[in-house]
Amino acid sequence: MKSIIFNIVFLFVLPYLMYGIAKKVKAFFARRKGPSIWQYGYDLAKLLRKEEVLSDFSCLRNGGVLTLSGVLAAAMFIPQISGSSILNLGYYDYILFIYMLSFSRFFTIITAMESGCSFEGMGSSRELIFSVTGEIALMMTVASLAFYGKAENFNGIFNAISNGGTEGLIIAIIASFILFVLMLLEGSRMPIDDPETHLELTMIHEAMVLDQSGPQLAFMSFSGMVKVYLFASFIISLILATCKTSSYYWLFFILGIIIISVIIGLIESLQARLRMVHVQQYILFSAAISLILLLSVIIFKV
Amino acid sequence: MSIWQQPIQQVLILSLILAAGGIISAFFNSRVRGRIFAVIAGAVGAYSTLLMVLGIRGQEFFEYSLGSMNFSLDLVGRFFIATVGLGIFFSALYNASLSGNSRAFEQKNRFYYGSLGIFGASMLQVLLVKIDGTLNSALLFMSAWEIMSLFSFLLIICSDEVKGVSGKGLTYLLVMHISAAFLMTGFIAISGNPFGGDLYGFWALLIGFGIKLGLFPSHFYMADSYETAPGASAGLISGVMINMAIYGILRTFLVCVKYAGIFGYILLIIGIVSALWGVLSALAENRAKRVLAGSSMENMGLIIIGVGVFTIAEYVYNVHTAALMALAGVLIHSLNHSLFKAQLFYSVDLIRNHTGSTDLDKLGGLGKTFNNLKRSMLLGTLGISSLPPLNGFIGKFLLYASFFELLFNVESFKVALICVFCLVILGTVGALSLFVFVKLYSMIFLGAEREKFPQMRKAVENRLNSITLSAMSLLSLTIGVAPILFAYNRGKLTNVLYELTLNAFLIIGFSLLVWGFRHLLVKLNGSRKSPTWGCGYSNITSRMEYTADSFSLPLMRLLDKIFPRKENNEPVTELYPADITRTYEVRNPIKESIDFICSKFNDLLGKLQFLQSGLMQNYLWISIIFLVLAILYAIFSSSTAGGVK
Amino acid sequence: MEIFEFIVTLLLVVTLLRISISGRLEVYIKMLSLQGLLLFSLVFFTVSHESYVTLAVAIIETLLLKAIFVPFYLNKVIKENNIKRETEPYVPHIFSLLMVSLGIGLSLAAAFYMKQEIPEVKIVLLGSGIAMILCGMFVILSRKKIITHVMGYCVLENGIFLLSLSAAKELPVIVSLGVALDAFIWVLLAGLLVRVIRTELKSQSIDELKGLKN
Repeated sequence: MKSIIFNIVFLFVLPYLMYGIAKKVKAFFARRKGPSIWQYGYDLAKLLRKEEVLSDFSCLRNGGVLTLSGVLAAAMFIPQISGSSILNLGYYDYILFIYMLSFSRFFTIITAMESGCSFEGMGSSRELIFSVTGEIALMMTVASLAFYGKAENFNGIFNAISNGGTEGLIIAIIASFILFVLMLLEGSRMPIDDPETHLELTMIHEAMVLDQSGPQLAFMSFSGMVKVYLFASFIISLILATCKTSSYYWLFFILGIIIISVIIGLIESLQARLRMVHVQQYILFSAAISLILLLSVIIFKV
Repeated sequence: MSIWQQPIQQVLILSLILAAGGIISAFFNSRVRGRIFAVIAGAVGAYSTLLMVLGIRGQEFFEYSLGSMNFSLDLVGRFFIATVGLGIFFSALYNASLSGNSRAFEQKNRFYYGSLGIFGASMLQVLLVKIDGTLNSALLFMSAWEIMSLFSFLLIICSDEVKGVSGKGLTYLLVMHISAAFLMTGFIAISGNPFGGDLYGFWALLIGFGIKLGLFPSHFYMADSYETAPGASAGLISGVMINMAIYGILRTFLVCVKYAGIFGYILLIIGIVSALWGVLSALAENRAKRVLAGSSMENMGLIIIGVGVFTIAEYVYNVHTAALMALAGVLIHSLNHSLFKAQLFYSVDLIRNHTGSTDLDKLGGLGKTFNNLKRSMLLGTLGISSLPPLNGFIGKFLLYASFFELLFNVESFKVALICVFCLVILGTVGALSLFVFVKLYSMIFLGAEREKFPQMRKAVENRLNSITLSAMSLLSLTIGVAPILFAYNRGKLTNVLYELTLNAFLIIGFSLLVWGFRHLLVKLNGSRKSPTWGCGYSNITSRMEYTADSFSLPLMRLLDKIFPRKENNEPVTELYPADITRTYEVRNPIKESIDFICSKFNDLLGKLQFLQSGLMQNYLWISIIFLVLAILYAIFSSSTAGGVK
Repeated sequence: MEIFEFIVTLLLVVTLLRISISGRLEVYIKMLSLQGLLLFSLVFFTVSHESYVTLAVAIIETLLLKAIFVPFYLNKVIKENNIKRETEPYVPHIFSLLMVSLGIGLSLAAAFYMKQEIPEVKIVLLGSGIAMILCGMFVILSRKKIITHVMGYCVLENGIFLLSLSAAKELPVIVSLGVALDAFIWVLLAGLLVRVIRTELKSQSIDELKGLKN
């Protein structure tokens, strides 16, 4: 019970902290002071206090609500700061995780398409196309991890990796590389999508929220952050599983979160956004790496 | 023996009532016709479903013979009869809601309900026939099957909506007969007759049922015929009739254990190709009914993947949990498909009646006009793109689970590679079908209205059809939320279904929670509407909206080789061009190649036309030549046979 | 040691994927040199060396030839000719990535079946060797420029080297030496050829410029 509350509390704190740290790193590289690392939290709070302005064309009001609830439901399955997930389901919770993310994506796009604006259509179309490729990588990674541990749930995967020794380490490293790319995709971070661009033609995720405001926008932004947080905690759980840390798990976890956000910030300050054509290749490359993951798992197990 | 112990007789009588009701309704005028039929068919459908689900207690297997006709009913048959009954029930309700609507073409046709009634009755008959490998049973099965095909053809050509109805209908009839020929060959071969061993028989059955299902190379007729069919019957054909072929495959293939290995892998391959091809062709299309036809192919592909993994798990590797989950997935998915596909077809038909078009580039912004339809179709869309907490997810999840079971329990390189590959394919197909149905839904309901329809009449959406469609979507939601209803024993399957129930409640609970939060915020801070901002475009019009083409084109351009398009891009020459039309049409390479073969064959026949001269003497000459050749053949073959002796 | 072998071959396969998706010749050269280094580490750390001669040959072949000389030479050719990227390949990069990953999967499957026939073979090395050969062939087939063909040939040659490592416990000097020499001469010839073409083109373009002046 204590760990559940712990998880839930940090689920509402760490996501925008990650974004804040990434922003701070970017500011450091630009020799600026940068906003406080809590700035994203303040932004969300401000948005929640604002009046909601909907498009004249909109007819479903609860798109943002459903997007956020899909992501929150996905958060129930991934082990987080306390080292265990909030709901310990027995069977194939990784599939549930993937489909909850799809659920939230569906409503993000439906909400975007409501406004009848062409930029939003463009963003949705791109998001869907990249998500198809991302789905290949994610499904292959998760299936290979599950096959490695013959695991019917997330906990089984992590147990198998912590018992796997060097093999487990190799697999965790490859898998976390793929998951990192997928994290950038889901959170629309730098080499895939520039969260701070001002050119609509190059936007993906930002184009979809152009016409949203107030609580709706807050829900959308927050669900993006939570997605990044969830993938990050997946990666951290994989890496920490190889180290077999049991005491002070939460400390290591927060350290991991900070490291990942620093890496995100580094990438954003050192690399330019990829061209649209290359984004597809970038994600497909991670899918190819996931094929290698699968093959190495097969080599280890069969 | 009480009446509850004789379900077969009851269903037979019900099917006769259904057919008779259809025929009787032809004698009344168009206003009353629909209602009479709706009452009869609705009662028959509801009763047969209830009978199958709740009415039978204790006994699991029934048999009945009428003269030389043998009927039987077991659990699989009961499941499919319940599905058909449900389909007939909803179809009757939907048809009743259309009666008196002058824009629904099928209402003008006097024999529409007659065909519908006989069609429904023949589906019930197909499910009752006892298939025991004898020719007698095969003949009975095939006669019911042929009646089904024939009347589905009549239903397809009922409307004059699309150009070239008769041609497309005839293609459908021809294809159905090719399928029937293969089926008959297959039945003869497996009943132990001299020509062809078992393997050939099963190939023939696979081709026959595969054509009916619209699996990969034989899918070319589906989009055309579903588009031609009036929506009310397209729902029944695409949603319910297709299940008959799944039933046939389950019935005939599962008897065959000897070739289970080969057929399992073949089914997997065919299923994967069909699922991918179907969903991509749905993505390429821009007319709602064709999109739905592509999605039918995709779902049938998924079901065939399920049958394949069932065969492999049960008969090759003996992993019973995997087999059980695959079979449960197949059955639940076929039920789900019959629900949401019919619902989507009816919704699209309603929109077609309203606007006169199913072209996604003309529709748009209808969400305000159709308030109830918008909601029920959102549920249907969620269901068909297999997202939780709707029913489509249940079937998909069980398929995933069966692959994982197989993966964990068999240690073999081949199985591991195949299982993970199939899992990835399932995931990709899921993501693509999300793409397809987001496109369909948002192009119909969201955004600005692309065209003003002069005949806008709210009356099209009446109380009856909104109740019907809402009921269908609510039934889907019930299956999705409480799949635990399907559990019948204490095993892993039940645990998985329990978990799915929990998951559905989880997502619904979160939605309610966040919804309450938003409600509170809106109450505190207010909410208003204003024109779309769109980065400073004042006054966004529908001409600036993203169209269905532009939505899917970036992906389809990558697949240019597989799904070729006919594009007509007029180049822009002036600075202020007056009018530029850009048309875009999906070509169907398989249909084109079949057309090519047919035209070559036609040419050949044309060259042989000199034989048909009309002169008696010529015909006599031909027959004499034939006779002489036959005699010569007989002499030579007997002499060589003698020589061998 | 097996884990080390595994990691090295894993990295080799990743270089294949990188090659298949890239259009920049710079990346190709980097990857070729990386492959050379990886092969060197594989030879140096995992193969047992009975005589210093074989070790010396192996080092010369992998480190000097593959990792340093050939990339350096190719780099020079590219710089001189001012070629930066592959123009319009026959197939889009996405499909070539798909094909190469398919090839990797297939070759590993083939290695598994060969393992059943010949038990002493090393699956990982064999599978990635076949994958490298397939990838090299694919690069030659799908790209247009002659310099890229040379690089594809180098990848193919690395694959053969890896294949020879997988089969025998000791390094078969003669085989790999022959192949390496062959590849070396090919690279030299192709470099010369490219230079010749460049000079021809140069004169032509100058002629064109003159024509414009008039």
